[in-house]
Amino acid sequence: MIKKRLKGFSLIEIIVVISISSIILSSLFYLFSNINILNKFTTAKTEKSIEFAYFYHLIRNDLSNSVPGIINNENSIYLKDQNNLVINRLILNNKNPNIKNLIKIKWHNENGKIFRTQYSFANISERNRKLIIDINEQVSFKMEKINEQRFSNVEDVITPSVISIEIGKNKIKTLTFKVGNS
Amino acid sequence: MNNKIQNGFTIIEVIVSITFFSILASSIYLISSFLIASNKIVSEDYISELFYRSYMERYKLKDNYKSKFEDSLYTFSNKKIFKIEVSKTPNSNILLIRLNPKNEPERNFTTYMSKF
Repeated sequence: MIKKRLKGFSLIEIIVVISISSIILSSLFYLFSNINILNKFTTAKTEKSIEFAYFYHLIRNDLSNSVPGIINNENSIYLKDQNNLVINRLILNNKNPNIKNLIKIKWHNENGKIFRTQYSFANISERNRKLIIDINEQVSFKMEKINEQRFSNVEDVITPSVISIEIGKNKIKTLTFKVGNS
Repeated sequence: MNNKIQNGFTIIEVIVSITFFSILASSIYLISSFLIASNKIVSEDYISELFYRSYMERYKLKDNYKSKFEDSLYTFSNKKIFKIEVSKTPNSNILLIRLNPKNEPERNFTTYMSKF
């Protein structure tokens, strides 16, 4: 009897251990598969949030550095329609930080995809168009307030002082930006 | 008796080690799920802050304002309810706007509004 015990486990002992360990391992596998799903979901959401924050700060930066007035015979900041926003803004010169260049930026909405086109300062036909964010919802630019300062004698030249971006159709989410530093 | 200890584990030893292992694994699961969830909360909080700040920017455009009221807005995750409080500052031409999200007492956002 003693010799038998010294050689190893009995069949019942092995069955009990295997059944307990299989129950524990399967529950752990279930838990960790859940965490993997949660991780994928959270990563996607966080990436979307980062993209959105980038878009917010980029357009905010463009609007706060915009220059009021008439540039190249057109209004410096204007809403062409609810899908197109044009901004002429100052940007730091890469070679000399004391010099600021004036550049034209066009924000364009195409079925929830928001593009930013940056035109070259020296050559307006040279441009760099980038997709900034795909919101996947209805997006529209809206003028909240008109700048009461007049920059042109032409009656229909309207410069906005506050601009909103409305996202969604039913549950509308609104982002609002002040134009310029005023 | 000594031979028995040297040759292998008893069933109690195996069960105890499995229990320890499962406690350790489940604590790792809890910690990692908590970290993932907190990451999600941080990103959602930041996005909601952008919408709160936008709301305050729009509120400044109003001609008539209430000193204290409750309002709501939509973010990408859900509907957010918050309180707005407008108070005076030592400069009579400048007002302080304070936004407090409901059920989040530690978060509040402030901005100033000129009455000009």
